[in-house]
Amino acid sequence: MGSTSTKIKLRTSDQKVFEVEKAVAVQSQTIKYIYENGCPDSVIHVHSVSGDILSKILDYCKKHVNSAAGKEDISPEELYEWDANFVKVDQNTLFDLILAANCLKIESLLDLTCQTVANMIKGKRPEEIRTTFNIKNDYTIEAEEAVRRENKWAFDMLGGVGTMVIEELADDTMSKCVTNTKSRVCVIAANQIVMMRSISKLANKKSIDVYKQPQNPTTPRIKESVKQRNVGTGFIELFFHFKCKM
Amino acid sequence: MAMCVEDRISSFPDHILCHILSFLPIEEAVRTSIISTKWRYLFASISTIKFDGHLMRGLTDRNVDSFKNFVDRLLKFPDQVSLDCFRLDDIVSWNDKDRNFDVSDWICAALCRGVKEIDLDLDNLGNILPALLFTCHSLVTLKLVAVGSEITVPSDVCLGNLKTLQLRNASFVGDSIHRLISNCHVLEDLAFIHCDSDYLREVNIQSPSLKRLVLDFDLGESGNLDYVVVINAPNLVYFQYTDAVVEGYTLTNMKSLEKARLNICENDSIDCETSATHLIQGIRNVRSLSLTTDEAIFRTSQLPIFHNLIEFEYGGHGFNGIETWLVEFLHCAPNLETLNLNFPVEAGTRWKALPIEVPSCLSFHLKEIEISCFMTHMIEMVSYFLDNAMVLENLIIRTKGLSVTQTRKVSNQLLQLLKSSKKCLIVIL
Repeated sequence: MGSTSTKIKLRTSDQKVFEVEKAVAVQSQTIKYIYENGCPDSVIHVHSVSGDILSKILDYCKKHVNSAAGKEDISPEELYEWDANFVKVDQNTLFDLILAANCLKIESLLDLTCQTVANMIKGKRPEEIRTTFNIKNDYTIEAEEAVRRENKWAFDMLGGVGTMVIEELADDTMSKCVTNTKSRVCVIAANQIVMMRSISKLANKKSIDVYKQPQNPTTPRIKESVKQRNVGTGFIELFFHFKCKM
Repeated sequence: MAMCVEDRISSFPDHILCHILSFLPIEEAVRTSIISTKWRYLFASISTIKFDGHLMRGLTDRNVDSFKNFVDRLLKFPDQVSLDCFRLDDIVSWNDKDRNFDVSDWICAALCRGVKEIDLDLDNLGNILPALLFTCHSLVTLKLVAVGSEITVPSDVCLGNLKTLQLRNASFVGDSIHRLISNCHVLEDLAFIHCDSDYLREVNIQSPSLKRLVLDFDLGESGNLDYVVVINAPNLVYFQYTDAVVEGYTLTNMKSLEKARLNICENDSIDCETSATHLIQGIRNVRSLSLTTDEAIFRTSQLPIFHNLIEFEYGGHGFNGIETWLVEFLHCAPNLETLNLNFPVEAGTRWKALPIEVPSCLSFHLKEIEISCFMTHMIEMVSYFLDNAMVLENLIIRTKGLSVTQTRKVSNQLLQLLKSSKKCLIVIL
């Protein structure tokens, strides 16, 4: 009876036992299946998950169950922030969470953690990715050339449309510009460097890369043909293509 | 973030690495092939393929052939796992500058790979959609944005597994809508957003499986208002409707309806009141209703009794006589528990001397009132509710339009008002 406070016992790989509410535990499709097809009173073994990791995962599940059921007054934006903080962990823990979310079949957590790793890959050159994850490059020179040829379109892309802020703008106009731009890149003019930090913060949320305008505008990163477009409110967006050699 | 000492990521199972790659723009996913030999072909097994405007703008002319070759290998290689999602969006034009992509062919290839979801936002969509799309058995979700394009639905349409269908800015001729929907036997979620109604005579939705329905015709901006809406959906749980009131409404069999959201405005060219009343009578079973109107669009004397209505949200720009209208509406909701009001109130309105009885919901059921945009002269309205809501527990007042001083003044005034319900808590946000 008392289905609202039914508890499920979970034992981890390091023999720690957790007692959790059923509604929280069944966020894991694996646990749900075992519970529904086995003896409801016995302890469920989660072999491949350690106590520390399971503890974190249960925090996640609890937060999401409570927010969905309206037990906690938390807006979607606040939940998003909470999730973002949840994945601010060291790499080892993040990977443990991914493997556990996969094994426990918690789709939203798997998506969250995989998205986090994707953000660590995004915008980086191969060498930078290797350094981040300590991956050894085991290609021969010939093999590497072959890979570049196989899909040369991807290794030779234009960096895309950039946005340059050149006027002296108030903070909120600056925010509007970053929020509304479709660019993936924002270059800040030399005389706007003081804005760099606040723009970077906004830009990070949208996965926009922020660069300082180089001293010498003819460096290999920036090409010619600048098109100018006036988008009102004294703000001019310059579109230019720049070459990103990957 | 602290690094691992060893390379843990490369030892993840392939499907997890592919899942990670599916969150990257496709060009970056492809570039991971150069990281190490383990990563060389991972991108080829991604289950979500998305091409967008950013990709198009970055592709140089001399690499177009390499890209076409890549797409062919990606979509058509034998022994591929089935695709979860194929998405083309924000494409200004895929066929300019002699690039000549065969988009229809790509869509067919995705269909042949048993794709579950297709999202397309393309110019000239009507001419690109292959007929094969409409007889695909693997499709579960279909989302089309077809600005200015007419969608032709073939006569043998049959989407046996389609659960979600979302059409934006599309234009339809004749009974294509009806034909499409009646041949989707498990359809649960249907949305028409900002679609062109120029050639419509009727929007006819007959679906025993439908649970959610959104009809958003942009408050009559899309043109013609000369059509009728016919809905027969016994399992419909959620109904959202935005339009000027049209010629006629026949809503039958809405017995499962729990929540409705109506945003309607007046239409001078028809007998608006009668039509609107038919609309609201059709949804009288709802538990939760959100209504946005600018005029007294229903004759309150013709309103049905909303026996199941426990939550009511009313918004709009306000009109003359809104107090009387609102109280008359409350008479039709005898079991109402939550009321949310979001409209401006003119100064000097007659809340103090309303010529009608207090509605029974106020006396017996109403527990929570929320006023979303409080202005100083709404005190009379608040006073009316505090006087008459006998079982009120929460009065929430949101003062986002007021300054700090004004809010403080209002708080003092409010806290001095007499409350008929001893349990009542006033919360000012």
